[in-house]
Amino acid sequence: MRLLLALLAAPAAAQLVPVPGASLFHADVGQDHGFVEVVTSAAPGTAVGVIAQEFSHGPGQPDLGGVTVVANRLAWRRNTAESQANLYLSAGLGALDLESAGRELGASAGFQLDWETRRLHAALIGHGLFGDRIAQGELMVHLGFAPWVASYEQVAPWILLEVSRTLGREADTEVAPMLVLMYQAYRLEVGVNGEGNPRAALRWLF
Amino acid sequence: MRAPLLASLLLAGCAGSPVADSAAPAGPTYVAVAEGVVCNHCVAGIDKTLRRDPAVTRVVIDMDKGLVRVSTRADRPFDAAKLRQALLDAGYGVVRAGRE
Repeated sequence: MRLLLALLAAPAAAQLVPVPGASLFHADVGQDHGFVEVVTSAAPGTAVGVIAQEFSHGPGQPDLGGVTVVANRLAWRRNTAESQANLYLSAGLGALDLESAGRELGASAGFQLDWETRRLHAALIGHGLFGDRIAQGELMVHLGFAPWVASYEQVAPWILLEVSRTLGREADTEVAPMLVLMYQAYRLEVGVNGEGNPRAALRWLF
Repeated sequence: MRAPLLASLLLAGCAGSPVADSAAPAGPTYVAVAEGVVCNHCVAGIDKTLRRDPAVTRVVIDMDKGLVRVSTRADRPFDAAKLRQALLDAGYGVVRAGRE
């Protein structure tokens, strides 16, 4: 159930590219999952894209996969000289390939409320998934800290802690520490998930 | 079944950026003070959106000061209002924008 949620969760967890003329490439791989996302600006404040991904529960467990079309909207932003705060809304529609139970249509909805300076980052992310056999949600909190301020031409390290909570009958909380390295338009994340498995992600604004 | 799609998306993500015409006659330089420019993806996004304008030949962004400096070519129209509007469309605040 948790992996099903993750299938359509990525739009809410990504930087959502409201900038005209820009696109985002996002890949995330781990021992039990992999996905590739390409989102491009459609109009000021709006981005659309496609996500392809698959997940494995491990030996003896059914694999999950899916292709989703997503739309993200910057609903609110507050800029200051030192900070930026955003509210993003997202919606998706996709075909979920459930290895043991066939394919079904799923819809998602999500939000991301975040605040960031050049040293601190905080985000509250929520999303829900709705289909014939599922209606569940998840809340995540991201807390990030940069040890020092780096310029665009330097590598900027961040320590990021992700706390996630599944809402529903299988409620549980997971804590995942990540090291984030930013360089120019690239953002590399390495770390472990709540079960101690390695994970890496790359985001590239192009 | 899913591998070709993943490969296609990977290739789509590797598209290159347009290259400015360095042989064009130099025009005025414009400068704006923007708010909310706090991350690398902010800088990259502003650069991308401004370079869509054929008049723009170079973009330099100083995150420390929120300064956006745009070099232009003389044979294409550009002004401070276009710079301001591009930054607003990208989601950033503009304290002021003008010709350097």
